[in-house]
Amino acid sequence: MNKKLISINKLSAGTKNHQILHDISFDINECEIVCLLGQSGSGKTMTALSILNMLPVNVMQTSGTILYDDKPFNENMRGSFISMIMQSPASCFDSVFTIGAQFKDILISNNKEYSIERVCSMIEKVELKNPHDILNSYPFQLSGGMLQRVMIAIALSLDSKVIIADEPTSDLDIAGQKEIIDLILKLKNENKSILMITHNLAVAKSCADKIAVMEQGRIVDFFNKTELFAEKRHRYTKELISANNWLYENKWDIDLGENNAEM
Amino acid sequence: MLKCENISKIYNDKSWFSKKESIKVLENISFHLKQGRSMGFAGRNGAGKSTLMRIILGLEKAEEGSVIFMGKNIHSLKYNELKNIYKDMQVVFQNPQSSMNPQFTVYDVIKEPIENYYNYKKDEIKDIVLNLLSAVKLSEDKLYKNIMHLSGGEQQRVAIARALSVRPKLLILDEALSSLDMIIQAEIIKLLEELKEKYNLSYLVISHDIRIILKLCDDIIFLENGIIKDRFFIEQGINNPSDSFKNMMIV
Amino acid sequence: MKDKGLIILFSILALIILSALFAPFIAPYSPYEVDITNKFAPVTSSHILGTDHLGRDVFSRIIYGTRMSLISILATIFLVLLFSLIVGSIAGFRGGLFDSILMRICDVFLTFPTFILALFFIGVLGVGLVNVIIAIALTHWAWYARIVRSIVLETKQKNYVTAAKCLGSSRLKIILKHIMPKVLSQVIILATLDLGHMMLHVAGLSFLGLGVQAPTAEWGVMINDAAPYIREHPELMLYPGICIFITVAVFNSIGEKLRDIYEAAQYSRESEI
Repeated sequence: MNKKLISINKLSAGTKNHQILHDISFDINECEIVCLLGQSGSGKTMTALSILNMLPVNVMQTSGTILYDDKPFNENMRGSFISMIMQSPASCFDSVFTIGAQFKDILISNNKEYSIERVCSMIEKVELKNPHDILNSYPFQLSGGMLQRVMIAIALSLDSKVIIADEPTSDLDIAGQKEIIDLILKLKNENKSILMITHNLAVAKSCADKIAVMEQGRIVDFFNKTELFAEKRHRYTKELISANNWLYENKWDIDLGENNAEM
Repeated sequence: MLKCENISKIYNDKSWFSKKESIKVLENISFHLKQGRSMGFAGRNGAGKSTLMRIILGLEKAEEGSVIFMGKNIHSLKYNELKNIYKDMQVVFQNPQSSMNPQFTVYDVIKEPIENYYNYKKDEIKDIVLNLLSAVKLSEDKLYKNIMHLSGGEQQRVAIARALSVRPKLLILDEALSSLDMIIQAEIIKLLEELKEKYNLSYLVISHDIRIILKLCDDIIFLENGIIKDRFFIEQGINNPSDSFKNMMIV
Repeated sequence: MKDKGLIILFSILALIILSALFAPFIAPYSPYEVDITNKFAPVTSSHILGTDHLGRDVFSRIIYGTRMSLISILATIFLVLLFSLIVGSIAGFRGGLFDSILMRICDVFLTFPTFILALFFIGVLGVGLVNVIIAIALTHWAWYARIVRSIVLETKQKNYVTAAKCLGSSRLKIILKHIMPKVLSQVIILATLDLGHMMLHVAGLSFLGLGVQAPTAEWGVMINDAAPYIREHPELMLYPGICIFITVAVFNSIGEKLRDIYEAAQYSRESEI
């Protein structure tokens, strides 16, 4: 049995007059991709932020515990134990500094060894060509997909055990999404655990080991990917599946790629 | 209905200190959209889809070529004359939040085009707005709500209602669905299919998601780096697609 | 309105405005009633703040002075806003050569120190309250016009303005319905912050004898009148000075509070997105 890296137990959070999360419980094991699936506003990002202990000022954790490798939270865990890949990479980099400078800054502030060779090898690992050019360029010179890869490279070089990916695919086009998913699957082979947040069932299906479906601040369904089509699935999960399948039907009578490959 | 001939668009980098660079965003785009058909532009981000849309709408000028909509050359029209074009051609933008004034209520948003084109009295306008709301399946109690207090799907419905208020013949959807959640995407596509029958609309769908285009369109144009790579018509199906188009189909 | 500070500030402002409106009912004497025999009278029950060098009741003069000060700054700010809104929005919306020419004119105005420029205009136009107002407006409009222009430029890029174009709205309608509300809400806050500064300007020019003329009750004039007697009766300068101080402070704090509220609203709107 794999080790529990993060275990969330009955987590609730909310503002003064509005409860956002209700009794969230799930575990992230070693070498496992867990997907939080839900609509915007269902509390996915809030859950991720409470794992990082970075809830917005007006939101408070009201009950529940989160254990990190059986230990409670401390500041040093950010970066070394958990790191995060943000939703819109374009707004996460400072456009005044080059990618290289920001990369270096993050590594040094987390007490990681820094050398050009190491950074370049990380960038090559995320399948970007010409790492030196990338390090010398400014964020606005790169496309969304490239920035997303740089983010992943940063998360990789921090050697953290758990990576939280908040909608890493939502700003990209379909082909770009697929490339990022392949990359995330590759991360799993490097002994990382990943908490992936997405609203796209197709994305969840293609990379998750376990899927947690969220609706209005609750986890309504939690299952292994293989059980996705099982009869006992929650009503909301079934809705998602049928909407997803419906999107693949069309009047052109064309089978769209992976959908049939997986069936 | 809409005919584009040899459109080319070049962006000149007008920096004083560096070398003058010019980037060709679109090259020799020609197509013809016939009445009653819908067309889709597929392509990756940065393929020039949005620039093409802005050129069709007359918001940007093309260096070469012409856009002819219902017999009129859009690029020879002045600001006031474009108004008549927009009565038959409407657009729903990518991001519903930013395409509506954040200080407006649903009613304010939808009544703006109605006021521009018709001389109705106040209660007549209200009736029309309520009709449109029910056409896009929004409940009446949303009428005086601020736009920002609606969910993304509801906002996009309001944007569709606003575009339909002048009874256009062609509706341009610029990535109008890609920022929405999946279930809502499916709902809005169903709604668009219904509205197509009801108002006898043609769509011009711009998207990187081939599923949406296959759902709504009869003609497909695949753009890559500003050039038309493939053209497909529903009668012939998809034959001989280029490799990059095949890539798009693996969703 | 949960902000206690704002309530206090607005009540002080209301007090100032009311005393200006109802000056004849509040003031016990006419501000121009000279009584040489009773000059430099000390504080008594009949003269709450004593009398000045001509035996005029200081309290009455201060109350009437409120009128002058408020009217002059409101007129100035009105002129400034009118000027800058027209110029700024035309420059921002039209752009191109038009924009360049208007902004270069603004630059010319901005290069001079405002007080010197105001003195120059008064020198050309002549002495008097109306001319002081025109001079101050002329020296301040350029700054506002630049701000208006930059807000218009920023708003013009917004998607909803493009959308309004595609909905067949005329240019005037776009300016009035989509751009102006945003410009106004920000510029009015700035103007409130600036009111105090302009008031000091008016009082300063009056003190120099260039603005409001001698017998008229105005705070700057009163300080000027009292200046020769600063050794024997410094309090005569102090009273109008305190009035100027309080009014300026109230305007500034209200401006600052409004700005905070506006920014908070803006922030919460953005975070909702």
